[in-house]
Amino acid sequence: MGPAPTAPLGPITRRFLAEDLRARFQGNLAGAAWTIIGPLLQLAVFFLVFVHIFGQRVPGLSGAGVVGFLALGFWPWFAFSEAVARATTALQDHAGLLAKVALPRAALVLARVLAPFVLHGAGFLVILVLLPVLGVGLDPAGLPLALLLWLPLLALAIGFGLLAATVQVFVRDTGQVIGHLLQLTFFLTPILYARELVPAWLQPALDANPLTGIVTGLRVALLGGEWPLGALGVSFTAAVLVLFGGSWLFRRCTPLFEDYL
Amino acid sequence: MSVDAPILLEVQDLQKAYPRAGDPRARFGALLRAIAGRPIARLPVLTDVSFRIRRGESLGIIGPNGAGKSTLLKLLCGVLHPTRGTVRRNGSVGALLELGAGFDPERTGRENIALSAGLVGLSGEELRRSFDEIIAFADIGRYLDEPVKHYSSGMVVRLGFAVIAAMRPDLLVTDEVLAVGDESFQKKCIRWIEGYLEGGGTLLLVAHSMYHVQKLCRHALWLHEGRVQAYGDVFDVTQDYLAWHERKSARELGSDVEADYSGSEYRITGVRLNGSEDGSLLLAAGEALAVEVTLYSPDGASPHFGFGLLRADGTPVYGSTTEIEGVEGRRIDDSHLRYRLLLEALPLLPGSYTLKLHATDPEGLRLFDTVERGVTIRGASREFGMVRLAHRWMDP
Repeated sequence: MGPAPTAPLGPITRRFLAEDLRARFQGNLAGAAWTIIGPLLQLAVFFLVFVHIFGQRVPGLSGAGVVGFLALGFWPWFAFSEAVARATTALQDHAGLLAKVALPRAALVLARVLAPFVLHGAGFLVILVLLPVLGVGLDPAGLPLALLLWLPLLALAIGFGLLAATVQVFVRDTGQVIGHLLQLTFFLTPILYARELVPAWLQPALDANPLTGIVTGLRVALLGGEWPLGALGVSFTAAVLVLFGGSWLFRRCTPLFEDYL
Repeated sequence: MSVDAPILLEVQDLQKAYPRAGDPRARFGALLRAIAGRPIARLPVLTDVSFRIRRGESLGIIGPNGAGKSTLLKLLCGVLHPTRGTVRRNGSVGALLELGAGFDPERTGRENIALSAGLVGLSGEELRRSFDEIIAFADIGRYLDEPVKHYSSGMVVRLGFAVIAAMRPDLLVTDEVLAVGDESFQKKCIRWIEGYLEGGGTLLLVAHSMYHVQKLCRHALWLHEGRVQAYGDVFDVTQDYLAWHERKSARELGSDVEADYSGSEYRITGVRLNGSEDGSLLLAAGEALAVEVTLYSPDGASPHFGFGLLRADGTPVYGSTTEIEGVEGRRIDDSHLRYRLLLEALPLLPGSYTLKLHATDPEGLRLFDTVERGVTIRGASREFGMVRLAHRWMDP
């Protein structure tokens, strides 16, 4: 039983991903150059707001170091939050197409997740080049580990994306809820602050957030420090569970999408 | 088509049912039931449909509006999931389901060709090879570089059909698209489909035009209220279907013969066709048609009787009256008389016809009453027109 869509998942995902990226840059004067301009401007904003206005301090880091610290937390967050938020409405936004063309439904969600990862992943590489220019010393030896940590992040985004997209088909309030949940998650993840600054009794709760290990791990890999092994364990375990859980729910509900879209 | 050609599509006990429209709470309930693996209350739109298509076959799906034809097509090409039963596909399926399916109205035709080619599974290399062919087939000139939202519906179909034609699927599934294009594009599509069928292609066509179905398909499946009403040879099924339509419209006309009428007008009070009082008649080609009518006359005078045969589309075939031919009716009682007419070996070609019966005044000038009956001539014929003219071929 089930659909045997004429086209396989991979090429269709690539097609929607290319469409998504093209739509972002089409009509822009600077076009794809925004991949570099964007991160540059973002870094300038961080420098102004957090270093000069808030006077943010991170133990053991100077002014420019704080910007590096923030940047390494923000870019994975940009990718993750945008991916989950946009994946939520992936099926709903393509209801018309799904009613007429047989295609693997997961491709729509995957493309919505991958697009922010491509963009902010590229942005991340740009800041890895920019930060040393600004005087932030990054450890080149930590680079492979830092990039490796994007994998559980992607798995989490795909898993949560599939989950949210599925629920959104049935419960249209999901988009709203996801927006607020993401905002909450932002503050419950050590992005603006260091994990070590949280009172010791709260740290286990913070470490239960799968994003904590990833963000903190990225910083440890590139800026140095102590590996948060427990939190990293949570991240990888959660990545696998969420990916499989999301896929399971998505597959289970796929035959019902046509009835509720 | 050979009997042992490989089966391309096999449908078994297919059922599709949609859930009742629900409020947000019911939708949330549906999600929970889906997670728990429990069924959801549904209304069936398609029940127990089974058939198979072998490579090289052509099947037309016919039926009145709302019979489930589009739902069936969508199930076949994987847009919809069956509620029960199975659809097994054994090759690539090219579907042209609705106007502009998969087209982005904001993008140009040229861009949309690439987009929808990707959706139907054409690789970049295949697309490059067939791009010119697609453009030539669509033949929409300068509109190729205009956004699709500026297209007429005919142009959208041209583009859609051109992409599917380039795909050359094992099974081509189309829904009513032939009805949209203009005459010349319809001919082009039919030529292409005929070539495709000759080249071993397999076709599944939904159409309301029996002409298209009979021209392109060898088999037909008649869906009625979500069930298979008939499935078999295209001529048998389409003729039964047309006859059903005739009966239906005869019913809708109501009981137009008032047997115990006793007013002040000349009326038809009884009609028997080949001895039957049914609303419509099914005849084999060349069969005889006996018409017996009873007319009511309020004043004892003798009203005349006229008859006319029309094709289903209203084109007159033949008609005459007893006044023209100087025929007298037989008086049954004071106020009724009877006419009997025999049309021997009807030379009508297979198709759907209407028999009109009229009561006129004794002068044959004024029409007082009209009764219509459907006449369907069964059989397969490749001759053209409505009537077989007597002819013979001479020694060349």
